Amino acid sequence: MSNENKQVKEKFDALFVTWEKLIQDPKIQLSSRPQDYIDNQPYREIVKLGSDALPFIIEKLERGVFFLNQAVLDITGVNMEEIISKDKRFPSEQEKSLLLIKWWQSRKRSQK
Amino acid sequence: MGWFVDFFKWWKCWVRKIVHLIVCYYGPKPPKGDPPTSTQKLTIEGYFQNLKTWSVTGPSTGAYNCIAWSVGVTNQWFWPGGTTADFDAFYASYGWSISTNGNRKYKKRKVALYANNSNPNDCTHGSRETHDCRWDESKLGGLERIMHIRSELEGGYYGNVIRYYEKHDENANLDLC
Repeated sequence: MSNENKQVKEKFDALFVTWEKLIQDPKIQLSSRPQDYIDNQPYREIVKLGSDALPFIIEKLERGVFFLNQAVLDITGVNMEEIISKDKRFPSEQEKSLLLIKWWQSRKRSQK
Repeated sequence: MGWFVDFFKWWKCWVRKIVHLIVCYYGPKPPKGDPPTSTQKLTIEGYFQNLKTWSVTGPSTGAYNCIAWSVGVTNQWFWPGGTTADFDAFYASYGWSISTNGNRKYKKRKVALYANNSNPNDCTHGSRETHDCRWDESKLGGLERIMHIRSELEGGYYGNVIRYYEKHDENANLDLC
């Protein structure tokens, strides 16, 4: 890992911990709306890290942190509607994560 | 013989009505779940000032939410969008149709959709009638699943019920025969 990547990883890890702590607030935990979990400063800072943070975000998606779906969409500009299969009209957040992970893997393959 | 079958049906129906009256109105305790701990009471009742009679029917988990629970799913987190139109389409895809009210109905179960300030563009929560006697179950976001009287969740953090959906259930509300 390059020095630059290490720095991004450190920043991401610190922001992630802050964000995870923040969303433990019962006022947020009572909500079922994903936007209530992502409408906060640490999350916005994660998005600001940009594409360098994508590998770390994808790693979290693989571990089931589906509230980071929106961060991937915001950073990459990918339209979720375009990668959802037509027969799955209402995917769950976990299913959206899987689609984003697949999209990420196919993008990596095509870049090689 | 026909009169006997009719009499038996009539008799069975009245037994159900009487049992329902006894069980539902003389035992105002949730029929399922554990009593909330003092911490759970403090946390949850702080956001729902009308919530008095409730029990905990499932542990705190971020694996599924209220909308998933309302359609019987316990391993996914669903949020189809913020408007009633989004929820109408979502519930229709699971076989739930719009219901004119929240009253109990023979062989039907109901789902209640809540919204802040009764704003149809600000939906917040869904609860499902899972037991006769007015009992709904709600998965509270990433927290516990609870059993409660529907109206007791209103007027708090989730606002009020703005829409009902219904679906056939062979074993639901048989006392309304």
